[in-house]
Amino acid sequence: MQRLGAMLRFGLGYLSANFQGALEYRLSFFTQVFSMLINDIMWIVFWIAYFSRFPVVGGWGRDEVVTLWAVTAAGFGLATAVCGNLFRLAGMITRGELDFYLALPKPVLAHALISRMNLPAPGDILFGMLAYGFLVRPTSVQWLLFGVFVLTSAMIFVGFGVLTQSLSFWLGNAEGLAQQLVNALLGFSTYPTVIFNGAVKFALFTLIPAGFIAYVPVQLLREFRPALFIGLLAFAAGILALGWFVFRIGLQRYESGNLVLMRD
Amino acid sequence: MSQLKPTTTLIEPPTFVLRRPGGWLASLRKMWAVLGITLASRLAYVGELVIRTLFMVLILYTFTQLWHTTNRSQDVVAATGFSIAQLIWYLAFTEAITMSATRINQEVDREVKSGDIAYRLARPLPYPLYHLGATLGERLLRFGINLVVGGAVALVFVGPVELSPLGVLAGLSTALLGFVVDFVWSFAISLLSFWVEDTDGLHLLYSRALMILGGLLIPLDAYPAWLQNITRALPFQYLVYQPARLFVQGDAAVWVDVLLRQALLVGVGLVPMLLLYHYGLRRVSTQGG
Repeated sequence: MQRLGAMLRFGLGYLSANFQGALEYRLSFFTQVFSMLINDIMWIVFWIAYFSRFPVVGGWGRDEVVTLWAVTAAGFGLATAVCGNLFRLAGMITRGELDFYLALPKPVLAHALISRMNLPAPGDILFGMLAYGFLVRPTSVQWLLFGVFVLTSAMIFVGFGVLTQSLSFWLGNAEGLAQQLVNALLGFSTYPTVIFNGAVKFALFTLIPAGFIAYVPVQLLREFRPALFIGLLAFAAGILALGWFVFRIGLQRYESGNLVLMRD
Repeated sequence: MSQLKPTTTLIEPPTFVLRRPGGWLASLRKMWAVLGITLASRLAYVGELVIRTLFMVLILYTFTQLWHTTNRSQDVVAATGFSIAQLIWYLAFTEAITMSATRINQEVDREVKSGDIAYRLARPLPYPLYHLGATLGERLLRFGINLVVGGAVALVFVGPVELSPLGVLAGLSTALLGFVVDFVWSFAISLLSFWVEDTDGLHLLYSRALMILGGLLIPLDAYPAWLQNITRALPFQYLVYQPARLFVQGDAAVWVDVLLRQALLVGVGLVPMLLLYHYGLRRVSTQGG
């Protein structure tokens, strides 16, 4: 328990330092956050336009697709705001940049992930909250559930990210492959899952778990089912644990270089 | 005997010119050469370019599913004026256009920040024309590959559509002129890097405007009336929607009109681009090293 508290303080310390670092280049930081917010808003304008022309698609309407986008964007934003190195891990492994973290007493994976913040990420979080609040107008219970689902989505993004980025331990430079897999996860997470069927739908709940990121939360917000809720929590915790486990195994294959590193 | 007067010898400045940049025709020839060299060098990485089209497969599959699901409850043809097969071929063409875009802002940002722009400026080819040649060279190759892969994927997902030779010619010619329009406006945004640290955010907004207001994912005809009114009043349609619609539906009557409007957009875009270039260059300072 004491160790967990120390890790939490360590994480919060990094989060605060990353945020202060971002504020050093205030104009650039706010431009990137604002741009991401506008980017997400453009997408939601597209979907609102689509659903105002075609009101129901596979039983889904405007509120469902807004919720889908809000949960996915806020979850992705939370994951990359806290773990800014998540999608850089494969490159760091290939270039031997884990040396820096190996020499320090904190857990390597957690330390490597949180030592950077993705600057536009707060724009995604802001968008998720604004879109859900203003367009869906949820009740306080739905707000509470929304917060939980943002957290589970972030956990799934981190778990899946670590799993795919860790392929570099075995495949050498797997940056491109990992990028394609993350793009696929993000792509499938932001379209109404009801349009997919057969083998693709099965893949969305197994190989590329986009279904757990937003489809299951949307279903739970429409109609709460305790078993499904527990299943979602278990999946999010499970994929996070699996990512950590695979990274740990992979780390045994890690080969250090003689690169002199300066952390950026 | 006349007395010799002391003489002073003045060293005349050299009358020869070190560099002859030539006129506009010569510059265009050099730009054409840059285009050819870029195209040839990128041909060495065709495999990588093909792998990048995987995302297009995903998008085409997703939209095939979306239109089929939508069609179960509403008549898509009546609402959009396109059959589902035409909608997917339209998407293949628009994706081929937008996925062929190069990340010119990163190149210009880097050159401005690192000072490498000084090397480019010393060359006997105007800096914007160098980038126009390099961008078009890369983009033509990417567009060709995207179109072949997109066409093949569309063929598998929804089968063939009837394309008229005139429509194909109209689509391709307006897509190519659209690349020049896109270059002029993108390059103008990139030149802002003389003043702002990072133009990524501005380029993101521009690309999203092209995506939604230009009709990347669905034709403008499929938008509700309020959004159609907005998008038809804006120029983004001439870079994405109009070329793709001409390609799929082959409306020869608007072909020349689209080309003229694209030429106008190039002319209008050149004003801010050249002004930004002119004032931006005043901020370039070089040092030894």
